[in-house]
Amino acid sequence: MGRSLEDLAIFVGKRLLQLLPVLFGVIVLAFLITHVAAIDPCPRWYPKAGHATIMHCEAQFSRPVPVQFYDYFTQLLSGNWGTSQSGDPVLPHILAGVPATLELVLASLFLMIVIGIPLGVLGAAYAGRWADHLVRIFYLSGWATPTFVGAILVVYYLAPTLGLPTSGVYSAAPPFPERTHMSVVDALLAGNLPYTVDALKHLVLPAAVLAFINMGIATRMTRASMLEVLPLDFVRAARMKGLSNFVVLYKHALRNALITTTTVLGVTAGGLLAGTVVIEEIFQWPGIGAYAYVSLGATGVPNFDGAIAVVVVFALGVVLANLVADILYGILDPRVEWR
Amino acid sequence: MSPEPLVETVALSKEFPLPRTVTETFHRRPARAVHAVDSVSLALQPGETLGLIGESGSGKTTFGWLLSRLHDATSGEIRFDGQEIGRLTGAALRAWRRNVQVVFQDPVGSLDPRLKVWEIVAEPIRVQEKLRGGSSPSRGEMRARVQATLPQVGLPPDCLDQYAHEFSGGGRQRISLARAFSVDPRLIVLDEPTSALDVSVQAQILNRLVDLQRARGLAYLLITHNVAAVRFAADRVAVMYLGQVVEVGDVRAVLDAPVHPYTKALIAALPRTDPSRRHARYRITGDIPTLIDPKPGCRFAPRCPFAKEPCRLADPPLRPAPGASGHLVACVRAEEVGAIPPSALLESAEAPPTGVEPAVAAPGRPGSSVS
Repeated sequence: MGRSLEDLAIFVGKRLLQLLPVLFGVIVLAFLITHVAAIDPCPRWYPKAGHATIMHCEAQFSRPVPVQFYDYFTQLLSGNWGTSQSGDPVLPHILAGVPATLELVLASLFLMIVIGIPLGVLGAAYAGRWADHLVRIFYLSGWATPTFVGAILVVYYLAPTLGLPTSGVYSAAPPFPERTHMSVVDALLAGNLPYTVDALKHLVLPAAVLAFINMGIATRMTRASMLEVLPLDFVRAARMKGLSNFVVLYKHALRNALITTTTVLGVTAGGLLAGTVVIEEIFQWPGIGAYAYVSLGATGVPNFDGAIAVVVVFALGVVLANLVADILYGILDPRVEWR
Repeated sequence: MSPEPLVETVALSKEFPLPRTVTETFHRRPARAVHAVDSVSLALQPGETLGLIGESGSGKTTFGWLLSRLHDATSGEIRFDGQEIGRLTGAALRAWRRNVQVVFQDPVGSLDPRLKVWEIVAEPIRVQEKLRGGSSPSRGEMRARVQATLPQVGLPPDCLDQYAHEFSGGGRQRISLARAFSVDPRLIVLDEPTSALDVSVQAQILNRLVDLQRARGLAYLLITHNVAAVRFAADRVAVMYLGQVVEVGDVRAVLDAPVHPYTKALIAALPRTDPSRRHARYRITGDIPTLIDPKPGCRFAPRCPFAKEPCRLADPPLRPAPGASGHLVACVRAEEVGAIPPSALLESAEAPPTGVEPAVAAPGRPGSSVS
């Protein structure tokens, strides 16, 4: 075990293998929760429908749960992600939604990094003083804000003041094909500058709300690990070299403090993904978060296959984010060996 | 002694204010402060090693950090080469830093775990070249320069691309030395450079330090608990107690014929290896007083067996000790106390710093209450 590229490849391979049982477990749990939670769902879903519709529904849901699961799982293995009750296939929604959600999550991760981490450094550099208290008030108010409250407040009060759009990804249908389903990337690929700006304007508010709510963890971890690093002698030694305070803080101290923050940011991916369900619905963002909201029956008949698919994709996202964090951890800290 | 000291402090003090308590705020009383370094005046000649001994909490390290401008002094002056440097800021301070470097006690914490050896040693050179407006040497040139310096501190020249955690404690301390020497400083503050190392490595590092000093003619401030190390490496020694220097002078004079009652106790507390040379234990009773807003008067008076009324009136000034020249002591009763035969204190030990004599500040055996 060591730090060569080969070790890294083995490490990643092992982790991907570990992913399989995790995914199976997630599928089982999601399936059980969806199918067990609703007892005799058909008459409730179709109160006014005819006998034929209910019988069709009963034919699916009145069988024993293990049998239903076997059918679902074999279907899934053959690449069929199922359909909604009205026969709308799940997979196209997932394929189009994942990039959109990824764009939103990455944008808010970016904001968490460029705002949350420097705030943590500020809090540590002025620990116990006013700047530190202000930083703490800022991130705690984010942490304490329920997602829907934050999003609605932004839509009602902040967006009109700033003149920013609050729904969708573009103001008008784009004249170019949406190849990647990431609004900014698509506009950039088409070389369409006005649409790029428009896409960014649509992105900034949902990403900012998502970042604001989850930022606390990045700021707090950075502050705590900076406070651990700052009293170490190598920080004083860096000062003795004649480096400016800024370089000492951000180059020597922060680089070492980031090791902890990176790990925590990986774990935060779960929180970000969970936040997208509400954020995307409120901002009409065409990602899988909004699809999850619809699939859970918020607007009509629930779509079990869609809900399970979203859960699986989210689980995949969390596991992969942690894998990326672990790889970064090894890159940041030369003492770590991949195994 | 040359007339012009390399570095000189004049009544240098450092107070760390304590957070105000509710009562203090309510009564609008000023916040209390820890007087870590209290009016210390010391001078170092070029090329000289000044040992600084005293128990934990006596302000040795704070004094070293004041000299190297890691702390800002509350009051007093630091003159380096005749120039006041206590108020340097910004780029001037950063450029001045090439004159003084620090070697820290903790070999683990004093090296950036994310940097390779050559980066650790090269960074001060690069930064200082930049501050002087020179062009930064190329990467290859820098590596060559670092590689050339590594053998001087006893490191193999092929360890350029290793990380600090791959070294033993002694190896790490050598990297620290290489870093400190890289900018060719004129003073190195050695803050307990060997106390975290095992005994055989301590001797190697001290020998290396002495050799480097002979070759380069720089001055050391050797902060340590280890009296044997001071005897081995230092020219002069200053003894600190509760933030003040109580005695300073040539190593022989101070360690073999201490005048101040505290120094006497400190020396007497050293365990002897030879039972026939054990001396009567010289006891100090009572706890070490607090550093928070100390009362005027000799700091040692509450525990001193010789203390009398005048000791408690005002801080005793450092004044020439009876006899030896250049030997200063802060005791109003120096003449009487110094004359008291310190039983078996006068034996001299020429032993190299084998570490057989452990840290002085460590509490003595049960039954002795020294320090």
